[in-house]
Amino acid sequence: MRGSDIKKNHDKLPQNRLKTGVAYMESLEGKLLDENIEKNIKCLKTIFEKCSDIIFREFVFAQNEQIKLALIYTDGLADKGQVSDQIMRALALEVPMAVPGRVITKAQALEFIKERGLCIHQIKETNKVGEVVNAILSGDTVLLVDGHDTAIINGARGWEARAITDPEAEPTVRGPRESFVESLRVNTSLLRRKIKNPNLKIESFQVGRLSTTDVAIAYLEGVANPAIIKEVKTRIERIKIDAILETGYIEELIEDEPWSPFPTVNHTEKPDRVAAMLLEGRIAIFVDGTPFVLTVPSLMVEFLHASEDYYERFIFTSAVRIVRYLAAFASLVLPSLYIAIVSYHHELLPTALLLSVAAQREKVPYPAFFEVFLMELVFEVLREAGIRLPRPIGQAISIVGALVLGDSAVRAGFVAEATIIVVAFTGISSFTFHYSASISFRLLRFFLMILSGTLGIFGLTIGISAICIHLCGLRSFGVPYLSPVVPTAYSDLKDVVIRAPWWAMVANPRSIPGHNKKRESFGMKPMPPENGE
Amino acid sequence: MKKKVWLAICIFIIANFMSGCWSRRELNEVAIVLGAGIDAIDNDRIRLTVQVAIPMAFASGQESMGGKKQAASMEVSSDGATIEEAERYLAMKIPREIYWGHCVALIIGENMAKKGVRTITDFFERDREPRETMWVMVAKGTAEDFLKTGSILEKTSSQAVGLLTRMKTGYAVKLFEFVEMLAEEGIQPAAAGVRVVEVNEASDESQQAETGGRRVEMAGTALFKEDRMVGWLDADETRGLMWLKGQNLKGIITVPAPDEPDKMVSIRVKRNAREIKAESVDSIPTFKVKIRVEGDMIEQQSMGDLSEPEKIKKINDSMAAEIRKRAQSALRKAQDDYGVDVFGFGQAYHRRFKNEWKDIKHNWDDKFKQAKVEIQVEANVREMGLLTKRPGTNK
Amino acid sequence: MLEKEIIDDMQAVFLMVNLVIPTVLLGVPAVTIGFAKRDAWISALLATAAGIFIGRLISSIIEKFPGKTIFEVMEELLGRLFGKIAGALFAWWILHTCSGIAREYGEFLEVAIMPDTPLIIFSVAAIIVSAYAVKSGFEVMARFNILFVLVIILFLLISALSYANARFDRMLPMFETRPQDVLKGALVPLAWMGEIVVFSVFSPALKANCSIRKINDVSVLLIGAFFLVGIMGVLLVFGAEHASAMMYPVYNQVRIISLANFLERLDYLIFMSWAIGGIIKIGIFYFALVIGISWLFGISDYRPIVFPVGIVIASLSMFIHEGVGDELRFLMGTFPFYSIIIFEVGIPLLLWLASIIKGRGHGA
Repeated sequence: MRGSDIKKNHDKLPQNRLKTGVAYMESLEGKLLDENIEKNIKCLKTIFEKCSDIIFREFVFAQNEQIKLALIYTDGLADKGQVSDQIMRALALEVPMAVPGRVITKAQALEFIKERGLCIHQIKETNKVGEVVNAILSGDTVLLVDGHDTAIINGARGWEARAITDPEAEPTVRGPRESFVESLRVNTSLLRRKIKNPNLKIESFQVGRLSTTDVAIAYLEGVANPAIIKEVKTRIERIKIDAILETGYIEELIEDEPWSPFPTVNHTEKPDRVAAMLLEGRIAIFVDGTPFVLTVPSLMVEFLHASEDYYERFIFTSAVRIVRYLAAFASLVLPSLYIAIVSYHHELLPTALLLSVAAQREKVPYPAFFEVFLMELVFEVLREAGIRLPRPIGQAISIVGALVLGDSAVRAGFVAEATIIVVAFTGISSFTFHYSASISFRLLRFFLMILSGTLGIFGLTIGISAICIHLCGLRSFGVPYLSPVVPTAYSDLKDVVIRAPWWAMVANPRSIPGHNKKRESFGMKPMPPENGE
Repeated sequence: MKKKVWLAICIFIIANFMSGCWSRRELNEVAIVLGAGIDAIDNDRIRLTVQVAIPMAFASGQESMGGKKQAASMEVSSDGATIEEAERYLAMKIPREIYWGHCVALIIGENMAKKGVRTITDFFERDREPRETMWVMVAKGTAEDFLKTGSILEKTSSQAVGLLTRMKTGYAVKLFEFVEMLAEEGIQPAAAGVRVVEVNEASDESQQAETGGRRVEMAGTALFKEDRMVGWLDADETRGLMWLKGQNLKGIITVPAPDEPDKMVSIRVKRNAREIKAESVDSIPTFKVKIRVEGDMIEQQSMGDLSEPEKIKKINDSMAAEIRKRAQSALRKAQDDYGVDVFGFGQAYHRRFKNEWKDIKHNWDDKFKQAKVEIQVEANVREMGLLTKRPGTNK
Repeated sequence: MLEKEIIDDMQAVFLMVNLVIPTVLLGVPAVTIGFAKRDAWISALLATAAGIFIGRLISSIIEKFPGKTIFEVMEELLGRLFGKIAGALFAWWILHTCSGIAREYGEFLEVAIMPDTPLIIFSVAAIIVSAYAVKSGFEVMARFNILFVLVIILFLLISALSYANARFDRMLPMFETRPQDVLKGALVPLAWMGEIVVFSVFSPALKANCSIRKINDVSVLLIGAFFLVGIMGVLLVFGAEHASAMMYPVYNQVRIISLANFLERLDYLIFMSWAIGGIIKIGIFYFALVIGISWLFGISDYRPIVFPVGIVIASLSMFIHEGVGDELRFLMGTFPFYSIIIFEVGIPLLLWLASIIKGRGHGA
């Protein structure tokens, strides 16, 4: 009997908790503040029961000691200096100095405090308990005044945040060195500094039933396509989830093709890149608490481009891009090609090379497929370890691991030298382009390796075809993923494998359906005077 | 339900594919054939000799460690009625699968060549592995003996002849060219000749022992009538053949200097081309062959200043005479001695007189014997190297 | 039926080109050269001219019924019963040809690269990938095809390297072959060119402002050009006698490329183009067949029948021919007459006559 009771309770428990959690905020929805400050404080204390970081500071108004005041804020989220100096000191000490002799009645108190008492740049009033709770949790400081059913929300936020640093995931040689941080406001300010135009709209949402995370979408009105903006909004508003801790949550919840290995939503941590995306008519999604910003719609080619491509001179950039495309291709097919050639199509190697590879493989006991597969796995382990290990030892370990493992594996006769070369080159190639695209390439590489291990070059070709067909069918917010290559937008081809000089990129990309057709005037090609006058 | 069907299909496909790897052959499971030799033996049977590479010998940096140099190849022979049959017997002697994809040279023994080669080219064209670009050569003596001869610079005799042909010093044909000559009317096939010679040039005794004091080299050209070999051209006549066929050729023409006939001038051939014009004079086929040669002077022994135009003209003339002499000698041998049109005069005649050709194509070789061939040579010296004249000539 | 998907005229042209080219380029030059010898180029030109006639015939019918597949046109012009019969025959021809292609597809791969692999693996693999493309829709197919065109261009550039071995006098003397042989040589490529009739199934997917006649003309000319280049390449490199004995002369043509002693052994270019080109060709026929069958049985969405039809194609491809000899006899002897007379000219001509008599459609 007892056992089943426990079970019953056990079953109930999480559900109840969840219900209180999610429904709690909803249950506060219609609740209003009372005129009696004691009641209000009691109500809030019940709400914030066992929340040791919520501070209730009760004091009396200097002008009229009958009037009780209460400050409620979250320790660590509110700027303590401001709270003590600009609110407490003002109300508890300095108000009489400013208006000596004047007596404020309870009824006048709220107006007076708002107008003369607070030295805070942004205040807001509310009479809803839900909003008060929200404000406290967001870092605002709430001031309750006795005798009023209205609370004043002081925007005195201030918490410890990471300083703006170099972009870690997308380092550059040339170009802005700042990257986004975890704070949404800082991030939008970084963007605003790039595009000083009122048409840069930043709309806010709150997503997450438990976390109520701030989410903002940014776009350039008149440039971005309204239909896509609307689609983004609908998709974000559709999200009903307990918490959004990273943009990755949103990414997976708004993708067009959730089963695809390819990312159809781009992300970056560089404000300049986001600005460039917005200028081409894309939409950015910011999430509070993460330095990564999503941009949609995204195309396949974006993942092979770097922001630096637009800062370096176009000749160099074009050359580098060709290398990057080749590297991307190599990172996808090189191991499978190696398997196909070594175990099926020996005739594709020149005689001298074949003999030397054959000599290397003489001592290797496993088929090429198994060997490459194994080494690729080893490489993935090393890479993963390199990321997870504490930074100071991470690099050392991965280099030593790679060297020692590779060398010993060859000496012990597990693998051929050629395999090591192929695997190492493939691994390095996959670092030449966007990280999330390289993840999908990494996965597909294994898929292709299996195919070429069973059917040789035919299998490889079949696999590549299947991938291409898949890519042709992909869309990102209605935009074909492979555009501008297919469907072909000829004017956009100037910025795919090569990059045209800036003075030639007059038209904005047509593959992103936007409104701003031209991004510069014609005739921007520099024309220095002929004879050096 | 739908999902289950999908799952079943996937499992079926994967199981099918994974159990496969049908055509897989790892590199250490194949015997890489570098050269194949074919000899005729008794009772219409053929002997197939393959030169199989021993991969370990090709590993980088292995030789010095091992101390003793490992043999780079092994040669195995086997008999059969067809090549494929012989290959099956070979499979009993070689523990690995025979792989033809890198066969550099197809060496035909002299006996085989005389018996007819049409029966053996088929396999090398029909099978997917042997490549049409392998060199076809006729060995003086047996192909087996030829393949068993080592090479010092290259590791195997097949590679050695492969590279020798690349130097374009002698006439060389690839399999697809040879087959085309066999198939087309109005031309008879010719193939490079190779032979084994005794030498004492290797200074190192171990090398001597290794190659058995023997070496392979190019040796003229084998001429065919239909698919049977009828005779040889020597090295000089081979050059004549190449002039007449318009084949690219890297070679030196040495002519007497214009002022001092006992001193010589050497000219390196840079470009050569030929043009055949067919005519029918009293229904006797007549051909005008125009050979154009360009070359650079690379050596001269005389003290004269050869940069003067009239002297160059003299050199040009003697060059032309020399080339004409070579061409004539090749022509005479092919036309008079063997009566085979290896130059493609018949094709030229066919191109010009397509109606008359129908009547004579069946006995073209006889007609060819009566044909008149007129050879015109236009030779030119272009460059003179880094010297204009011999230093000290004005003394 | 076909969903509202739109392809532009360039995509249509290249779809049509790749609907024909993959198998033509590999197998047909040898046959044409076998008949017409050195004058094979005349056959190619003749076939192209006749191909333009077929293209015009088809476009003159289709353009009268915008937004309708050829099946629906049949029903409208010939009445319900005869329309369905003609449509069923046409669908049968597509099925037959499609399995024939799947067979050829596997055969080349088996002969040229993987002799030990069962034939069915190649057909099944290609059909699976094609099925994926068919399921993804016609737009996706058109886009994938454009990607492949890039591969073809690369391939053409590289196969041009074999012209290092070309000798123009291999074409001489001209006009030696008897005219009837030249015509015979033209018949086989014409039968292949006539396969563009399959594309009339997809005419509703074309953009509204495309001229079908122009698309057909340009496609046939392009196909003719590709074919001519293929024939000339083989002829100039190998000579007529040698080339006509080969099964896949273009493959040999690429195999002999050897430039500067390192640009050689480029066979895989052919494998890859063949593997992808075959998928596209099978895919288009497959798609047409699926649409035809769903029309025949009045199914509104074609997607559910994609896999069953694929299984039919794959299994038919296994017993359609007994061996290569049988297959060659059919492809070179029966197939040209069978397809040209009944399906590529016969049925279109019938429809054209019917449209004239009935005076239906826009133009009439």
